[in-house]
Amino acid sequence: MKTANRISAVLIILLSIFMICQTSQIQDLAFYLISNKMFPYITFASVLALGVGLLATTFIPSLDPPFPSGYWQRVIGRKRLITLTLFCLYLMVIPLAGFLLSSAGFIVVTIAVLSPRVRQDLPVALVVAAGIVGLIYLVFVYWLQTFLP
Amino acid sequence: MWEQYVISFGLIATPQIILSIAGGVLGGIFIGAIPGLTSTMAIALMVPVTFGMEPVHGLAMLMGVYCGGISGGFVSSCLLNIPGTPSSASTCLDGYPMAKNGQAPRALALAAYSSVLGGCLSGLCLIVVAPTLASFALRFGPWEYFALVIFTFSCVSSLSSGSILKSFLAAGLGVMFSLVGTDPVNGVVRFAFGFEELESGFNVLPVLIGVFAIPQLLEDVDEIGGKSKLMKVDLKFADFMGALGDIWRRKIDLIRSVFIGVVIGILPGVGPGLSNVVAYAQARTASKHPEKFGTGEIPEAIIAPEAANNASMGGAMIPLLTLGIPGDASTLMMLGAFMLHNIQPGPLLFRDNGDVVYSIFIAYFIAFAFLLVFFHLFLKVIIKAIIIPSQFMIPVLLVLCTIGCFSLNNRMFDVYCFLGFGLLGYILKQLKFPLLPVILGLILGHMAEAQLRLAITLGSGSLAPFLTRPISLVLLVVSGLSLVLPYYMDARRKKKAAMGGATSRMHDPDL
Repeated sequence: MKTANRISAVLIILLSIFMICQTSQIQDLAFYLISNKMFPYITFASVLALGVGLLATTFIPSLDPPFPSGYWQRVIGRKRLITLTLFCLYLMVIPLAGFLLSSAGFIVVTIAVLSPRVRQDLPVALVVAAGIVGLIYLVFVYWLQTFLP
Repeated sequence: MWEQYVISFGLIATPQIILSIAGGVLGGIFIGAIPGLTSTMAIALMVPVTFGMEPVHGLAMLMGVYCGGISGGFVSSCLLNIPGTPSSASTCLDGYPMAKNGQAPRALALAAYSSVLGGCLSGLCLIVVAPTLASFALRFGPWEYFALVIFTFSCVSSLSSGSILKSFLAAGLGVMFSLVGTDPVNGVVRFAFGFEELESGFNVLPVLIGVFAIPQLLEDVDEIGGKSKLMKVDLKFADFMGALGDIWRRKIDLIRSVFIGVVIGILPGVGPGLSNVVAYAQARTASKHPEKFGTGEIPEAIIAPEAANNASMGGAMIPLLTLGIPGDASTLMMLGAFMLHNIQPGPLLFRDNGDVVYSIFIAYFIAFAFLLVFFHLFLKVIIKAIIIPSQFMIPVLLVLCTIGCFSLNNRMFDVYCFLGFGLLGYILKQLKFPLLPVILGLILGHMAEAQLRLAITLGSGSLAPFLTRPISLVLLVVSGLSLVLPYYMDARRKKKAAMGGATSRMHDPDL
């Protein structure tokens, strides 16, 4: 927990310093007495202070309980990473293949990859994909008359 | 006021809206019943569908989803010992043992009727308290609004589990994101980093859906392959009538739990997730047979948490409608829906959009009427839905979230925001940062900035009115106390424990 907190505190401190620098570059337009930079400065300075506070707490012994064993293996577990990768690929494919086709493909592939019983689940996956894509078409295109990606 | 109700009833009593509420309730129950999917997710999935609807139509439907989503959680609590939603966590403690004792229909019927009664009673509180609070809030100036935002952040931070520092940091991150886009006063574009899409700031809904949906779905991936064995349930009308009799004999428990639910619902940052635990604990304290809690033998152990979690809904709607402050994640989604329909919740809502507010009140009760009907008619079907394997649910929900985010503005940028904020939410969740303050910061950041600037301008540069105006002062003092009090209580508890330890050592015969 300590290392994770330390890393996140450092990242937050760097982010807030970067944002403070960005704020200084905003065009200054005072409205009555108030500068438009005031609130951003207050916000980023507060975040910076809180980040420093978080960093300081990591040096206090036994304040944070450690993560349970195997925690990080679960956080970046195989199944989670696969799902995330497939989802990113799906978003990249949408502009190329169209929403309906890529969605059907994504549903079938994800079910096939995640399922512990691929053979039994594949026919169901095809039916689910067709059903969902059909439902989306009906609701969004036919009923709500919106565009699909 | 009654005139408003008649007008709003006329608005809402159309076949389309009534059917939409029914559909919303049914969808909400199904999603709420599936372990891992919450009412927040249910609303997130349905918000984009309401985009093309009239505000009254869309919000009435979402009210149905909200009611169904919170109520549906008890099904898997009773039958699988897995809470369908966090709001049904305490229902597991006695619902499952009761079902295992061969009384599954009784457990389900008790939970169903307690949910409906708890929701309806809190609805009465909502329609009594909300207009009064709204007219009181009309006295609020920018000082009070800014103090209210501070109060909300401090409440959320002190009441959320985990580190207060991390809660404040999460809120700070949310406020940082709210600063992206055009300055609300001067119109200067800031922090857009050359992206044209960022000039109008982050669209709240994709961020909201991403932060809550993606971390949840990624965590649900681990459930794949787990076997859920469902017990057979033969529900009859007589079971429901028997449950009604049980509840009538324990009406004090019901009323106490509703009170707890409403009060906890009103507090920002906590909602049904806490109210069911507190109500269960209180029911146990008040019971003549506390030793029987956890055995599935006494109905009040199911009545209390289920009535309280549904009562929180009415409570959480009070600050949302009257002050524009969401009580929990689900009302945050509802706030997003209000914004989508260009309606700003707050004290002026009752004056400017009275038809919408009163329609929401009516929709709330219609939703609970449908809830009761659906529990009688479809509970057997809903029971089957809770064992849908996660490998089917996850990709389908991701696709629905994608199309939902896209359809808000017909641009892929919102989908990328959904993914980006989803990843950020996942990382923050794994690092034990609470997610609710991030979204609260994003939504309330605009309000905080505008009100602070207005307050300083009106005060000719002075901050003194924050301390000289009584409501603002009270809110700021309570905010301070809510931050200090947990540390004080913790220190006192540790001191007591240490003293207890010392006393017991003094009485230790070995010493």
